[in-house]
Amino acid sequence: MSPGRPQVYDVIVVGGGFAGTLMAHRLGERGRRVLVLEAGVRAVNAAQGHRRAVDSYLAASAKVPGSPYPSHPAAPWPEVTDLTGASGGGYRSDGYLIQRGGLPYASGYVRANGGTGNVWTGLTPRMHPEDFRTDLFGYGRAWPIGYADLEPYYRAAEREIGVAADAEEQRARVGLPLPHGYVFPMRALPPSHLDRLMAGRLDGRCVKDPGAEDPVELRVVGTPHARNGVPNPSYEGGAGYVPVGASGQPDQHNRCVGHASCIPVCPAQAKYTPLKTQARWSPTVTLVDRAVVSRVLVDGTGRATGVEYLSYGDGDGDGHGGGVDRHRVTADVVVLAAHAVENAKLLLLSGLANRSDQVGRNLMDHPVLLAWGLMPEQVGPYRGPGSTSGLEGFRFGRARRRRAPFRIEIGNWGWVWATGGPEGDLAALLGPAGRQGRGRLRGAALRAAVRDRVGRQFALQFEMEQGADPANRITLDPGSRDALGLPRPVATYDLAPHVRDGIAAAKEVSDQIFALLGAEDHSDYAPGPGQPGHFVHHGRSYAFRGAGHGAGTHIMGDSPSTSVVDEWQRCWDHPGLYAIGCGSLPSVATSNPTLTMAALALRSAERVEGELAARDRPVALHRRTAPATTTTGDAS
Amino acid sequence: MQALDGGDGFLAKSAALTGFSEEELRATGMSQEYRAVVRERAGADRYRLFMEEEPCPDRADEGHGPQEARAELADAVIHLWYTGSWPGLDGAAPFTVSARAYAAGLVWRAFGGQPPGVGPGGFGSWAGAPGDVAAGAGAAR
Ligand SMILES: Cc1cc2nc3c(=O)[nH]c(=O)nc-3n(C[C@H](O)[C@H](O)[C@H](O)COP(=O)(O)OP(=O)(O)OC[C@H]3O[C@@H](n4cnc5c(N)ncnc54)[C@H](O)[C@@H]3O)c2cc1C
Ligand code: SF4
Repeated sequence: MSPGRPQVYDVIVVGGGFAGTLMAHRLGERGRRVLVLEAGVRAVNAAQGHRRAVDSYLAASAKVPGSPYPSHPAAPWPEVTDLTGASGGGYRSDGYLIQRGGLPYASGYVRANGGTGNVWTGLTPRMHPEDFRTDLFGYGRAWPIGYADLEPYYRAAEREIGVAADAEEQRARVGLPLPHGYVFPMRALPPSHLDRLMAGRLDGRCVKDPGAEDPVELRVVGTPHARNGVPNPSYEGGAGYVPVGASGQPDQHNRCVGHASCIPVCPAQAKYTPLKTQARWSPTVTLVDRAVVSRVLVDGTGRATGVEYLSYGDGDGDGHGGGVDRHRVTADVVVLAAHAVENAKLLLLSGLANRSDQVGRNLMDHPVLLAWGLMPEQVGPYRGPGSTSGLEGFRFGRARRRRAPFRIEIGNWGWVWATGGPEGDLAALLGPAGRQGRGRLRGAALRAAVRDRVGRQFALQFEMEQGADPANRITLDPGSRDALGLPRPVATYDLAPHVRDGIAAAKEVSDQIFALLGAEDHSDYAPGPGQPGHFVHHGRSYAFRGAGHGAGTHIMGDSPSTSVVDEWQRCWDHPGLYAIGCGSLPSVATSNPTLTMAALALRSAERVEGELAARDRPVALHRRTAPATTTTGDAS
Repeated sequence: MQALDGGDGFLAKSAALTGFSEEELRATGMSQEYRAVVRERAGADRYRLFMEEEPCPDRADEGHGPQEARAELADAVIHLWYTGSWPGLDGAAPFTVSARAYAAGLVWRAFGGQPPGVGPGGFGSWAGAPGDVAAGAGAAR
C-alpha cells in the first residue's frame, strides 16, 4: 500500500448488498483498504439482527419482502404493495418509485445492510451460452463477453455463495457446458413432493408451444440453490466443502430445514445472504451504515475521486432520530453497487457516465405470468424452498425469435404470490359469499374446506426474458424528493410485443400442462386491485408480476457510444469508476440473474485489484509486496 | 379460579366455529389473549350477543340486521384463530396479534402444514407426502 497518501481508502464501495459485499470481500482478501457505504441500517450484532429480522417478519401483518427490516424515510425502497390495479384496467402507484409507464415496473428491492440479497429466494441457475447472444434471435443486446469468459467466475461465485446442484443434471437437462469433472459445492436439494407428482405426470410428455415449430418435451429439472444441503465430498478434487451457517460461521451441519420463508428471511440461516460474506471480510474492510451516497465526485480529467454522502440518525437502534450530516470521502477507485435502480439514480444525480445517453435506460426484469390451480390430490404446499424444480424446455432455440423465451418455476408455496396466501383463501371461504348463499361455513365443514382449498394448491411461474429496450428507463423527478432532499426515481416501463407474445405462449403452454396434470385452473387475469400488471393482448386479458430482477440501467457493451460500462463494468467515461450489479447485464437472460451478477462482480474485482496493483508499482520498486497477479485462486 | 377461556364459554364457542376441538385450541396457548382481543374489538354488548347465540350458527341467515352483524363477528373470530390476525371490523384496520399468534394459526394445521418461518419439518421434509410430516411441532391432525 502507499504510505503518505492523503486518503485512507483504496476503494469506496457504494452499497453493502449482493454485489458490493462480494467486491469488498475480494479486495479485502488482497489487503485493500475498502470503505463500504451502506444506505440502510446494519445490526450492531449479527445474531441479534437476525433474531430481530425473524421476529419482525413473524409479527408483520403484510409479510412483504421488506417486512423483516426497519425502514427509514432517509433510505426508502419500493415495496410490492405500492402498486394497485384499477378495476377497469390500469394501475395506481403510491410509493418511493414514481411510475409513469404504460405498465408498472413491478419489482421492489430492499435498502438494509445486505440489500435485496437478504430477501431473495436463492435460486442460482447459470445463464445458458445462448443467452449471451439474443441479438442473433432478433431482439435485445449482445454481451461483449461470452459464457466461456465467465465460466471460471461462475465457479468462483458458486463457491463463494455455496450452491447446491446436480452437475450431471445441469449438463444433460439444461445443456450447460460445465467443465469436465466439475461438481457443485453441495449435492442437489431434494425435489419437493409436488415436483415429483409433476414429474410423474409430465416427464416425457409433449406440449405445443405456439412459438416453436416442434412440440416441446417436458421434463422437471432440479434448480441450483444458494442454500445449504449435503456437502459434496468430491468438490474441488476431493477437498470437499463446509457449509456456511449462522452469522457466517462454517457449520458442517447447517441445512435448509424447510422453513418455507426464504422470502424474506431464512430463520435457519441456511440460505445465502451477503451478511455471511460480510462476516468473513478482512479487517481492512470498513462498513459505515446509514450513509446514503448522493454524488460521485470526479476531477478535471473525469477521473473518479470519491463520493459525497449523507449520514442520518446514528442514535437509537432502529435508525430513527438524529440529524443529517454531509460528508466527502476520497479513494482511488469508486464502485457503485447500490442496485440497478439506485446505481442509475446516482449516475444521473452526478451527471456522469452518460456519453451514450444510456444511463437509466434498458431497464429490464423478468415479467412473470403466474398460473395457479388445484391438483387432484393433497400436495403439501408451503413446505421447503419456494421453488425446487422447473421446466427448462422453453428457454432455448429458434422459438426465441417469435416470442420471449421463459423459464418455468414450479411454485411450492401454494397461491401465496397469486392471491396472498391462506389468509386470502380463508377470507374467500368466510363471509356471505363463502358458500354462495348456502349459509356460512362453520366448524368441521370449514376445516375440511380449508384443507381442500389450500392443501391442493400449486403455482407455475413463467419468467419471461425481457429484451433491452432504451424506452424502458429510470429517470429522476427533481420536483419530487425523498426525506434527504434527493430526487426520487421515476420508472417508465412497458412490455414489448415480443414479451407479450411470450406471455400469451406461456398461457397456452400452461393450459396444456394443467390438462396433463388433471389440475383445476384458478388463474385469473381480470383487471382489479390485485392485478396492477394487467394488459390486453390480441383481445385477451393477462397480468404479469415483477420477479425482483431489476437489470440493465447501466448496460454493458463494447462501445462507449452505445453502452455505459465495458466488460469489466468500468464506466467508459470515467477512469476509476465502476458500476456493478444486474444494472450491467446486456440481457437479463432466461435464468435468475444474481449468480451471473455475482460472477461478474468477482471478475471485476480482479480488474480493480489490477488497477490498484498498477498504481502501486512505482512505489513498490524497493519494497516488493505479494505478487500482484489477478487470479481468484478458487476459480480453477 | 378462572377457566382458561375466561369461564364464559369462549373456547367452546370457538371450537364450534373453527372445527378444531377445545383441546386443540387450548394447545395453541392463545385462547385468553384472543378472548381479550375479541371483547375489546367487538365491545362488551356485541360480545355478549355473540356469546349468547347458538354455539354453531352453521346456517346463519343472509342479509342485514343483528343476525348478520353476529355472523360477521363470528367470521372475524374464525379469522383470528386461523391466522393470528384480527381482520378489522367495521372498517377498522386489520392487525397481527403477535408473532406467537401467527405461529399458532390454524389455517396451516388444517392441511397438516406449518406457518412459514415456524416449526420446520427438517432437511428434505418437503419431499415427503403431506401426511408424512406431521412431526412438525404441535401439528394438529
Ligand atoms: C423477492 C425477491 C426474490 C429474489 N429471488 C432471486 C432468486 O431466487 N435468484 C436470483 O438470481 N435473484 C433473485 N432476486 C434478485 C436479487 O435479490 C438481486 O439481483 C440482487 O440482490 C441485486 O444485488 P445488488 O447488489 O445489485 O443490489 P442489492 O442487493 O439491492 O444491494 C444494494 C445495496 O446498496 C444499498 N444502497 C442503495 N442506495 C444506496 C446509496 N445511495 N448509498 C449507499 N448505499 C445504497 C442498499 O441499501 C443495498 O444494501 C430476488 C429479488 C427479490 C426482490
Ligand atoms: S426453506 Fe426454510 S430453511 Fe430452507 S432456505 Fe428457505 S427459509 Fe431457509
